[in-house]
Formats: sequence, C-alpha cells, structure tokens
Amino acid sequence: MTEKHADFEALSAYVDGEAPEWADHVEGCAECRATAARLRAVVNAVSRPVAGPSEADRAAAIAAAVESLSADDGAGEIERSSVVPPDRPRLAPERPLSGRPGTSRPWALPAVAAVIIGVLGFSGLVLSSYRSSDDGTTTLAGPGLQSDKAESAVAANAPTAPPMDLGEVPDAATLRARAPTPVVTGARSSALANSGAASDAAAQGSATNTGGAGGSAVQPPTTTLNERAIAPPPVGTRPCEERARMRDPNLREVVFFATARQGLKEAFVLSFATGPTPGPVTLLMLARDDCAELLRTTAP
Amino acid sequence: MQAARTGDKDALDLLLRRHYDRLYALCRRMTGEDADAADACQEALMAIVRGLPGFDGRSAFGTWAYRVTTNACLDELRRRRRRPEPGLPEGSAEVPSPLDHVEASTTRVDIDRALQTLPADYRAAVVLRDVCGLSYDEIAQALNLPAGTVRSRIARGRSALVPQLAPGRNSDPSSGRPTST
Repeated sequence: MTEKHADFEALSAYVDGEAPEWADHVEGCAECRATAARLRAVVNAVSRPVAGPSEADRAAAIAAAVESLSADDGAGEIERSSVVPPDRPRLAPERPLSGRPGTSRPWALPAVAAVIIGVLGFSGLVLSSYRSSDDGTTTLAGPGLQSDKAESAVAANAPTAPPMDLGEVPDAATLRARAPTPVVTGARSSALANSGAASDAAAQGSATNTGGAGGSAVQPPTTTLNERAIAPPPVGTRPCEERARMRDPNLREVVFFATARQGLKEAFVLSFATGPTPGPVTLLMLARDDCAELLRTTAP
Repeated sequence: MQAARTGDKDALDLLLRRHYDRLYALCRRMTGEDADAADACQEALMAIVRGLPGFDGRSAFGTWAYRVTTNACLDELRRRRRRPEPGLPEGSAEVPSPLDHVEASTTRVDIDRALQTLPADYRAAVVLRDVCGLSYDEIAQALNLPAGTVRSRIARGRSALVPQLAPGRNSDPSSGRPTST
C-alpha cells in the first residue's frame, strides 16, 4: 500500500474509475475509504434519474426540431402556399427555396453591383449614423450592408406604423404566447421582398453571395401596408439585429418586430426566420440599451 | 445516423428520440429548472439538426450532441442571469408533479440547489460525468478542455457538493488532506 494519502482530486478520479493506481491504497486506508464513500454518495445523488417532460412535450420538441430541417431545405413549400392567405404579402419573393439563390444567374453580379453603387449614395447618411452610434458591428460587410439597403429604402419611402407592444414579458413562455404568428406584412417585409437576393444574402450571412433581382432593392415598397405593418426604425433596431446575427449566423430575416419590457428594461422583440418563411422562427428579446439577449425561444 | 445526416426525417426523429432523455437530463441538471431545461433542450435539438450535416464524425455522435447541449445550457443560463428573479423558481412550490415518484421533491430541490451553487463550468463537468456517464476523455472532447482540467473541475465541483449532499456534512473533504505528490 502506498504510504501517501490520495488527494481529493485523485480520489474523485478513483471513484470514477479513472485512477485505478490508487486502488491498493484506498483499500487499506480508512480515511481515504471514507472520503471515497462520501464522493460516491455525491455521485449517487447527482446521477439520480431526472423527471423528464411529458411524452407530449417530448414528442413536440422532437417534431419541432425535425420540422426545422424541413424549413431549412425548403420542403415545406406546398404547406406554405396553403398557410399564407393570398391577400397577405410575402416576406420573400417567389424564388427557388433550395440552394443559394443567384448562383446560376449570370446577370446577378452586375445587378447587385449596380444596386450597391446606387444605394450607397442614397443611404450614406443612414449608414454613417449607424456606424457612429454602434460599436462597429454594423460595419461588417454582407448581411448588415445588404439589409441596411432594404431598410434605408423603407425608412425613406414607407410610412412607419407604431410598433406593437407586447408589454411585460418575464419568460420565454410569455414571449411565445404574446408574439403573434409571424405574418409577412408591411413596409419592411415588402422592402425585403423587393430586395430579392439582397435580402437572401443578408439572411444567409454571406458577404460574397450575389444574385437575384437586387436592382429592385432601392424601389419604394409596392405592397400596401396593412394594419399590422411594422417598420422598425432602422437605426434603433439595426445594431441589435446585427449583433444577434453575429451571435447566431443561422438567423435570417426579421419577420416580426415589437417592443416589450422586462422589469425596468425596455426591449425589442425581433422574430428571425431560420429558414424559408413561414416556418419556425427564433424570437429574441433584446435589451434596447445594450442589445443584450434577455430571452430566446423558438416558435413553430 | 448516416440517413439522418442526409435529411431522412424518420432517421432523424429516431436519432433524437434515442438521445432525448439524456440530453434533457443534462439540461435539467444544468439549469435546475424544468422550464429552462425545456427551452435549452429545444434549442439544443434545433442546433443538432442544423449542425448534423456538418458533423464530421471525429467524435461519437453522443459526445458531440452533449457538447451542443452543454453550450445551449450555458446560453440559457446566461439569459437567465439577465432576467429579473420572479420569486420562487417555477414548479418548485406546492404543485405536485406527476413525476414525483422518480425523485422526491425535497431531494430534487436539494440536488438542484447544490448543483446551482457550482460555477457553470464545474457543473457542466460534474453533470457530464455523473448524469451522462461520459469518461474524462469524452468530457474533455465535449468541453474542448484538457483532460487534466476536466479531472480538476470535477473534483472541485464535488468538493463543493460533498458538504451539501453527502453524509458528514460538517467536514470539508478537500481541506487538511495530505497530498499525493
């Protein structure tokens, strides 16, 4: 038997079968055996079976996850056609739902280049104000720039409806309950739709992705605003939107915007598509002052 | 597994069902609360589905899934820190749970409370070992840490748990012991 006692870390590893070299010592040492016994008691307590959710919750969680795959690969196109009433404008333009848009369109690159040149001049002031008011995240190329174009068009051309206020939202369940079903409405959606692949590129977080009918991105929205149209103020939400995308590159376009509160904290609620819309959306509640993520949940 | 990676929904469903209980248990022990565990587990499942095509198979699927789930739990805990305390934790009070036969509620609260006293990094190591049954090497892979760090975190975590969960609560197991140099 080794004369030296095993230290606590060695005994912890021994209990886990990761330090068999201490077996002889522990066998013959009452003090180490006692410590090992207490460690085993802890292991037994922590490893007690955990009460799982109900079978229905379990099935729903798995189904939602599996369905998110459908949303990603565009398999839900038929369902989408039947779910969205024809009188509601769509967030995204009619386009192939799988694969990267514009990769087989020879005119895409020149079109996007023209849009960028045109829009940079048009939205220069707005963009510069973003950069001066943020910590630099909105200066990233790609999503931020592309989305800025669409929003600049919105800010300049579309009336802005007052944002919906969800009130006090203490937890994810409340957020899910109060956030309406994502509906593609309003100036911002129209602009995003009009921006074609520009918004797609923004959504997919690809700075180099080109293509699509980008030339229409600078056009005023042609879709009439309906009552629930919400055009988030670009400077107000843009930094938070960008930071959210930096934290999670899977976030695509914003399909719903609202304001909310959590205690004394004022917040934005942004609903991001994670695949072709309609489909599962990620609801984020972000602090207005520093864009900190207060709540996150997923809605079908 | 291969079928799930290529988008076979049935295979994916089966794969998630096979691992769900352990992933949920990990979330439950990490967050200490049913509602947060459900949220974290949901996020983890979505992340697994999204990441599956890119899963390169260098580690076992389970290890990778635990890694994704641990990260989802840590995210959920970060979000929870920013939330105001509503009072008693959800589901901890008088409402009887149909699953109380699995764990007496007092015991459950004790274990949850004790685990919540640990720093999240230590808790993750302890839970991956004791709830998920991973070896130190697997935990090292899952947490992207050296195995020695895993061993140390587990020991430190348990050192904090012993007075709360093990007999002889008045003793400090890690103090005053000779070392094994």
